[in-house]
Amino acid sequence: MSSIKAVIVEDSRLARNELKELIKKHPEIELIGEAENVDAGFELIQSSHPDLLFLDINMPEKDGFELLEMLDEVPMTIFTTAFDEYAIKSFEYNALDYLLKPINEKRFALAIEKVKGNLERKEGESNSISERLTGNSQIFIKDGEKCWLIKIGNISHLEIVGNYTRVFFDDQRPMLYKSLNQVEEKLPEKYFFRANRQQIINTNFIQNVVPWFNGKLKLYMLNGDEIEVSRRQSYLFKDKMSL
Amino acid sequence: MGTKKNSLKWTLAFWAVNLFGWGGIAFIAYAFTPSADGYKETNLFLYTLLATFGIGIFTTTILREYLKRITFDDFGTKELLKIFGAITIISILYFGLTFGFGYLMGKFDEEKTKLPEIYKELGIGLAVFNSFITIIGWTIIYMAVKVAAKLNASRLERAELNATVRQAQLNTLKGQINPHFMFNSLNNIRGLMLEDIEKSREMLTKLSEMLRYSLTKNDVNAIPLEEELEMIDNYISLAKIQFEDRLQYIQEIAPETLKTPIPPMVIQLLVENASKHGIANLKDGGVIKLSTKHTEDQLEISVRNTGKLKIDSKSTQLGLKNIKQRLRLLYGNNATFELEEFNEEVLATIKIPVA
Repeated sequence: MSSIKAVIVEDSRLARNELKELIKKHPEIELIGEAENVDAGFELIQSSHPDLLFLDINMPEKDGFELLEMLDEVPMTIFTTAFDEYAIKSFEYNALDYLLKPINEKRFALAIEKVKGNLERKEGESNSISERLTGNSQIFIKDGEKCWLIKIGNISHLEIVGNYTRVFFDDQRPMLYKSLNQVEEKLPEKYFFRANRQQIINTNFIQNVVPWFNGKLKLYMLNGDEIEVSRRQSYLFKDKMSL
Repeated sequence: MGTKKNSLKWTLAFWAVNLFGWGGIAFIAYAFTPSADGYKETNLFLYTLLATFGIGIFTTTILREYLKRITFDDFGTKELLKIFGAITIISILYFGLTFGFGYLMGKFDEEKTKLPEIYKELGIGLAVFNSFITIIGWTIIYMAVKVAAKLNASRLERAELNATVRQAQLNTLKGQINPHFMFNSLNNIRGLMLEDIEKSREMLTKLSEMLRYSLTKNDVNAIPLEEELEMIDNYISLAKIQFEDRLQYIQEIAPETLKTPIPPMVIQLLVENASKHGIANLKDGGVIKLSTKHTEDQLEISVRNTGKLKIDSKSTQLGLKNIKQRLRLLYGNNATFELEEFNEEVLATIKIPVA
């Protein structure tokens, strides 16, 4: 397995040194950059596409969550935090990992193992560099006090709510503060389909397709939701699915 | 009222008041009886007075033994009925005894007694009514004293409770080292050990001193300013290994303020706020300036920092509430705390009276 490319975003120089010392013991991790605030971190991640991000929560001007929200595609992320009851609470709802500073070496090693496991699964997929996300890409959503790290492939469908988008996956439905059109540009075309003006569906989550009035189609989703495909899109849908 | 000593005290008080009360009634009866017809000089009159006194003491002592058992902790219709029942029975007893006494006296010395005639003139009904009024009056006085004592006791209890609660509040408000700061410091020291062992050792000592200070000053309400300054020095040194060039600290202490007593951990909290909400939020950092001076009979402490006074929606403002509450608990309305912003600077000012 090729090395894991990692970056550190953390405002304290000594804390970065401390983290680098821990990373040294894991030669499979290659540190490709570090940043001391969110904006510098954003630039770094956009230009270097790391596999792994060590991210502090409390930083000047913008915090770690804001960095994740700025990114279209979120690398594997390990939060490092000293003591944030508030922030740690929000981890309960998702797969993000976090380490408490000063970091226990055993816990650090476990977190790295977890990252390796996730990356191996990801490697099965073609690594073509494109503007679009893949099914294994993760996006980060923070809605109110909760936050989620969601694999694109796990999204069942998306729906317009005003200027924003509601994302349906598992039994959750958080709000993503981006427009549906913005989101559509990034979604993999292979199995995301615009059913009508309001909704985009993941074709892998369709349970049943039923012909409806005026040449329209009605989709029954796995989670029980019903979605009507507009007439124009119904032609495209039949085409796409070779119905 | 629950203790034995107290109950003895109340029993003695009851006997003193009860004896004095019935004695008073006998005396008034004596004083207001006209001496014109010679009745006042008879032995019968003396016996009547003694009997009134004796019967009064006897009946009301029984009544008290019963009423004692009625508490106000659970007072309702049932208790009210019990009281009226007791009044009725004791009144009948009182009437029976006085009437019996009068009857005996009448039989014993019919010539000289006028008592049966009084009953004949006024009717037995009025005599019964008279007994009722006497016992009801007595009960009202007894219960009123009991209520007053009870109110007084609960007032004392409440005051005591308030004092305890206040002390407990002060203790929790005081001396809490911010855990986020503590763990960051520990982590920074661990990082510092990779490059400067001497400095790491020094920082560990400073962190220990801070911890000790916050643990031991918990039960103290005032310390000399200079002691708090040592704490601030420790805090700033540790904050500097976190923020490095981003933090500049200036201190302007009027020498005469050094010995002034202040509540512990208050300046510490102000400096911590300045660092947490000011410097920590600025990419390029800023300045924290602490100054103290005496103005008339007050000590003025001010902490100034670069930054904006924005109330974060996430912030519970616990620190500020904490300071305000502590000053209020310690000085009432004699201390002030103000927080203001101007020219990209936040200024926190505390004024406390100098004893």
